[in-house]
Amino acid sequence: MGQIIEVKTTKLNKTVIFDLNRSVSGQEGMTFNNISDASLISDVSGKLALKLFQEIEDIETIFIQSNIVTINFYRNIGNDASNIEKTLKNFFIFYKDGSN
Amino acid sequence: MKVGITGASGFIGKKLSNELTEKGFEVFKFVRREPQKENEIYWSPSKQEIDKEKFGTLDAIVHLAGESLAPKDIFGFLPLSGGRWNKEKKSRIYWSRKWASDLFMKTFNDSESYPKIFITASGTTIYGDHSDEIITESTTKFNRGTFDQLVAEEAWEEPLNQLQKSDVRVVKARNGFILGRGNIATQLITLTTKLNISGPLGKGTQFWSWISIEDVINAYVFCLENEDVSGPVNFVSPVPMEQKEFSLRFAKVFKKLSIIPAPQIAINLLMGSELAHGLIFCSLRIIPEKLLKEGFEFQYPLIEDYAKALKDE
Repeated sequence: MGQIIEVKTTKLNKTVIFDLNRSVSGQEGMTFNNISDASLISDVSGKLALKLFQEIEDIETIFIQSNIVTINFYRNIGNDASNIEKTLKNFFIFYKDGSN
Repeated sequence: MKVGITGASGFIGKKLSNELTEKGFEVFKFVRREPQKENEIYWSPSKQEIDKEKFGTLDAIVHLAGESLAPKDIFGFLPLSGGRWNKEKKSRIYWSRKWASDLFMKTFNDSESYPKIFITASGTTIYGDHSDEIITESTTKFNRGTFDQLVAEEAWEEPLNQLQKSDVRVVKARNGFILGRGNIATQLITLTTKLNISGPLGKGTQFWSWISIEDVINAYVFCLENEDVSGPVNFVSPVPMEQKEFSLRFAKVFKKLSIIPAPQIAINLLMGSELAHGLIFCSLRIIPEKLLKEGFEFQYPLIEDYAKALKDE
């Protein structure tokens, strides 16, 4: 069991930026162009990206850098990003280093 | 679970039968002759005959039967051999699939008792050449005009639209370029690599969507067990790549070079242009979105890992 993380959300048309209160990758950042990309990376950012691709529809790309998760969608998803926030918040409840 | 398999003596069928038996499934094999064992079921696609009684007792069917697209051995590529796509071979490829699909749909529709899962092999060739465009199961644009595309669409998948039973879960397993010990493609790639004569085929920029036989078997089992999986499913590894890159990475594992190009015209002459296009030059950059979304884990996601496994065997 981990801790629930806090999420601050900013929406810009088809792009949604999530500011987390903990870091999920190194400073260099990583782009995931599709679910296949995410499946090949076994660190925390890869597992988070895979979970997002699995649970959220219409994602075009995900960019993760430190505590910022930027998701580009194929369409404007409207004002409600609560399902994505829920995935992000819950991620660390189930994730432990070395777990699947 | 009682699972009936067609093509059970083929490259995939043999391995899948063994895997399912090991996992505790009850495996039944469809045979075209008089059944000699309790676990054999008679069918004859060309005569449109099937043992309906035994068909009705099954929980699932995995339909793999069909004339092989590739020749059985290296000599099959030679002119006048039976492996090239001449009129007769093309007819066998097409009708072996069409008759079987038609027979199953008719049997489902006419039966009161029937399996609730139908998994049929198909091919990623259904998409047709897409150059470097990424293809997922959501891709509905098929680039038509080649024989292998026509076979996958018309003979494998279209007949399934006739199914009138809404409680049957149908999975269309679109198999990519399968690598594994014992198949002709793997033998050729391994041989040319070992002899240091591998390299770009044609321009080498065509994408290959490959998958290991081990992952193919695991994916069939996954689709049988996972009730959420239905419709088209791409059976390909997560990393499609250009053929020249594929060849380079493969050769690196064997500590060989991959620099000798083979002109497209020479390969066309050797194999016939249709077969060469189907097996080598059709560019398919496919990702297995549905399998990954459902949580399938690949044993060999990277070609380097699989080349190493082949080398170490």
